[in-house]
Amino acid sequence: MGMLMGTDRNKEFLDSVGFLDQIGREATGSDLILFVESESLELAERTLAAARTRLQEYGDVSRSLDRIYLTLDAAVRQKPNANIACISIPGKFAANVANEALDKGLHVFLFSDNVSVEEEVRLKEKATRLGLLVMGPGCGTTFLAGKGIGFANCVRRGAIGIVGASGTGIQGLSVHFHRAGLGISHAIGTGGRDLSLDVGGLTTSAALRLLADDEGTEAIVLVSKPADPTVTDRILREAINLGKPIFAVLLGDTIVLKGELPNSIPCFSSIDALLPTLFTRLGRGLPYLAKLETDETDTLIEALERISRQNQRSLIRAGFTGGSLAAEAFSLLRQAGLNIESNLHLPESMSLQDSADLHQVIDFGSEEFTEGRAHPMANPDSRNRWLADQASQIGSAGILLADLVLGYGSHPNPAQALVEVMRPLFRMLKPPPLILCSVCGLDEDPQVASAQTSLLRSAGILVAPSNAAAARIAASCAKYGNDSRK
Amino acid sequence: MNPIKLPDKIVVINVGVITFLEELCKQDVEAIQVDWRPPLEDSEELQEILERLQ
Repeated sequence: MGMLMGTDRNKEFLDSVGFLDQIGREATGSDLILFVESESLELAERTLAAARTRLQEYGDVSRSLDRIYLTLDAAVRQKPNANIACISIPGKFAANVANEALDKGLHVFLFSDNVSVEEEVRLKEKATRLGLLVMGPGCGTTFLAGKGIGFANCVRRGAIGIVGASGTGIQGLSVHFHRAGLGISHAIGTGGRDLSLDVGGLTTSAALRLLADDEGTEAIVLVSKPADPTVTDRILREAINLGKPIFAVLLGDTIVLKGELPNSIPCFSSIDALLPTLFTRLGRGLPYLAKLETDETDTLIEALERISRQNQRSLIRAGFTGGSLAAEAFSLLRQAGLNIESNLHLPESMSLQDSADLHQVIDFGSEEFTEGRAHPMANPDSRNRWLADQASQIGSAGILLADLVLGYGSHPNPAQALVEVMRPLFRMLKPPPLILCSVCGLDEDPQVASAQTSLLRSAGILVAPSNAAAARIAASCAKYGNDSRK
Repeated sequence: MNPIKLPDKIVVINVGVITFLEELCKQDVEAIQVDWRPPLEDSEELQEILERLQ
């Protein structure tokens, strides 16, 4: 049983697997196609009827809300104090609606992707003229005034401001800050392309100035996936003069390692590499670092014990729902000297060829996987099934690496979803699969991080204290497995 | 020009995925929904009918 929006791409897929009938062919991008494979017609009809009932219930809930308007104009008239438009419609329509929102004096949180870079630049230049922010396109996370928009964890308010061209980068940072007893003032998402040569950091630059002027912000962290070096360099040089401590985390970026950025701004290539410097500067959060280290060592020892009993692990298969977490893991695996195939398009990544002897890092949130589908943080099925396929194919040679991202907007129980897919493999495969996970979340989140962690561990899945720790442990395991086979 | 300052409180108009509205409401954010639909001109079939009528 499955559901897909009726986009051309989804219809092509359904046709290729024999699920598309005439009614499905007539579906449009705003229709939902239900499809079911079943042993009997009767069971198929019952399944579809149950699905229709659930959808009907959902529709009833939606319609019962007394705050639904047909146009942006009507909504603004009803709510003249509105200050943010959150836009998540298909990309080809999103720029027009964002433009209209700017005309009405609203900041724009633009979750939609597939918006052209030309449209992005036009929107951001207009926003700059109007004194507004365009957060996006492809913006996953923003926190303003203590409230999360998009995918966001229940983080307390505090003194650290974040500017992020990276949704899970913002989440990863803010979760660490909260666990360490700190909090965030605001976290402004910019969209993943903001630090490209074309866009020139328009939103990043505005957001840094805003946080510099914000009384509640004591220090600022800039987080991004690999960006254009000249733009990053310019933005950081401008940031030196803002009068507040600034730190940069450029996930997966090799220029950080080469030390070519202004040395007055500390730059790091992974989230937890930042923490000691930042916490020392703030004079807070240091006990948390000791706990992180202990938890990482404990997980590493447990992983190596499993490997030493089985003695044949060396190939990493990493599937991520968060793109920035994928980039962070990629960077750490590369630093460990591993050669990796990936869809991340990073300077040192090799294109995906499914080579039998190379490691893989896959970002399931990239545009080729999400067009017309839910983001994998909301529905991790495709990632989970890929992990299970990998475990089946490479068997005891595999080290599986995965993220679970909790918070508003994410799947209500991602640990259960992963465990259900992996449980049969734990029964069938001897030795069982080695899976390393990290949980980006808090006990205050709707999914409750400690409950998710317990569920994973009870199923035999190892849980590292951070994404970076999981990647480092995976790299150690791969090296150990490789050495012990020589 | 810079915005004067970051908002002390957010009031959101959500255009698109209703889950985002629901998640905002869970955080006690004042938020309303626009029931956005694709513009009619996107429908090639409807366009053809309109052209035939003209």
